[in-house]
Amino acid sequence: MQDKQIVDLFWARSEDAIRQTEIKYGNMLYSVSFSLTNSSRDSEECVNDTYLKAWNQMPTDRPDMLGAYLTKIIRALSVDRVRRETAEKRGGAGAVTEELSELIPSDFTMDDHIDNEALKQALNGFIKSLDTQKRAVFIKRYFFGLDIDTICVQTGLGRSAVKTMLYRMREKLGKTLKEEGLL
Amino acid sequence: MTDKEKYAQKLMDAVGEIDEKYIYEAQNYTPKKRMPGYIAAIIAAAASMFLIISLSFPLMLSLLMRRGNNATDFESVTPIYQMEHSMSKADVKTYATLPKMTGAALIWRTADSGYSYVSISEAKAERLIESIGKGSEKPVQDDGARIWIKTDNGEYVSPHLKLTPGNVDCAVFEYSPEIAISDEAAKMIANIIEERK
Repeated sequence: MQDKQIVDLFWARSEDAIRQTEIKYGNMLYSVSFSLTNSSRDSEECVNDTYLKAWNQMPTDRPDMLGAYLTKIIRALSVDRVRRETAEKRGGAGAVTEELSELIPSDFTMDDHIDNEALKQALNGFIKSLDTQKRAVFIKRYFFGLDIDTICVQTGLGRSAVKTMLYRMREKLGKTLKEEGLL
Repeated sequence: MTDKEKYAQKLMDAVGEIDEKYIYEAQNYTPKKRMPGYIAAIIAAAASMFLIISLSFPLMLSLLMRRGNNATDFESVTPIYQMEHSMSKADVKTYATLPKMTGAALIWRTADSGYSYVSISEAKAERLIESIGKGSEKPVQDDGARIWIKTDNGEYVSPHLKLTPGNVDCAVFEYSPEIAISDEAAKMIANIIEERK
């Protein structure tokens, strides 16, 4: 079924919307969540929570790309879930967050008034400035939380190439954020 | 939680808010297929062959045409485009004193290094060039005299030169006396100069 038809079902408050979403995106959503949580149980729950959240947000929202829309929801849910877990159970999102924190200086002092919207815009600008391949690698790692080996398989790049690419992108992002006065 | 950790979380959240089109793009990203090595090698070899042939073709064609025009094994006519390139500095100065030539001409340098020219018709220039190419192989004494025929399209042709690496590069003054000018050409040149007087 086409995305538009599924969205129409959500808008019509038809329960078939969930069934069709599960058929089309269930596995993909589960794998996104699993990359971030490293837990089958958490992933299953996140998938169900995603359907619920999508049900509640539509009809207000009418996404053009349903897959990407649902992915954003499940990512946010999975990251939240990992944050609630104990510090020992770090994996997926925890590891990715830690990796992202490498671009932040150790003596960094948080300004309470950091504008989340400005941060989001700066990040979107940074992502836009990357070429397609680098963008795919960045998003696979920091949005989907995929491990390096999976990224290598999906992009056809070598392990060291991916690691170097990510390192350089983190450096570039840090520089961009400094220039924007956000770091 | 340290400020660094808090900021990392904010960053992580901001990553979660990126434009959906980039998420879609990354989800559907497929690497460009690399060309197999042997296909790249074949293409490189074909390109090299094409380059070699295209570069050498004009030279081969010109050599074949020249050979076809000559009765002897020697190349007795070498075209040059800038006479000054083949002259000594003193000669260039003398040559520069000549009035500007338009169209075909017969140019000569006498034994006392003076340059002269006479305008001739394009047909005459062509005939002269053809007849010069049929020179004999007798050794001749170099008396310092030189002759050039300028064609309508600005090409200079000189007898007494054979196709040696030096002469190909228009070294007119690396004069080879091995080929004497043909009687027919000598007669034509004499007539042209006589008419001028």
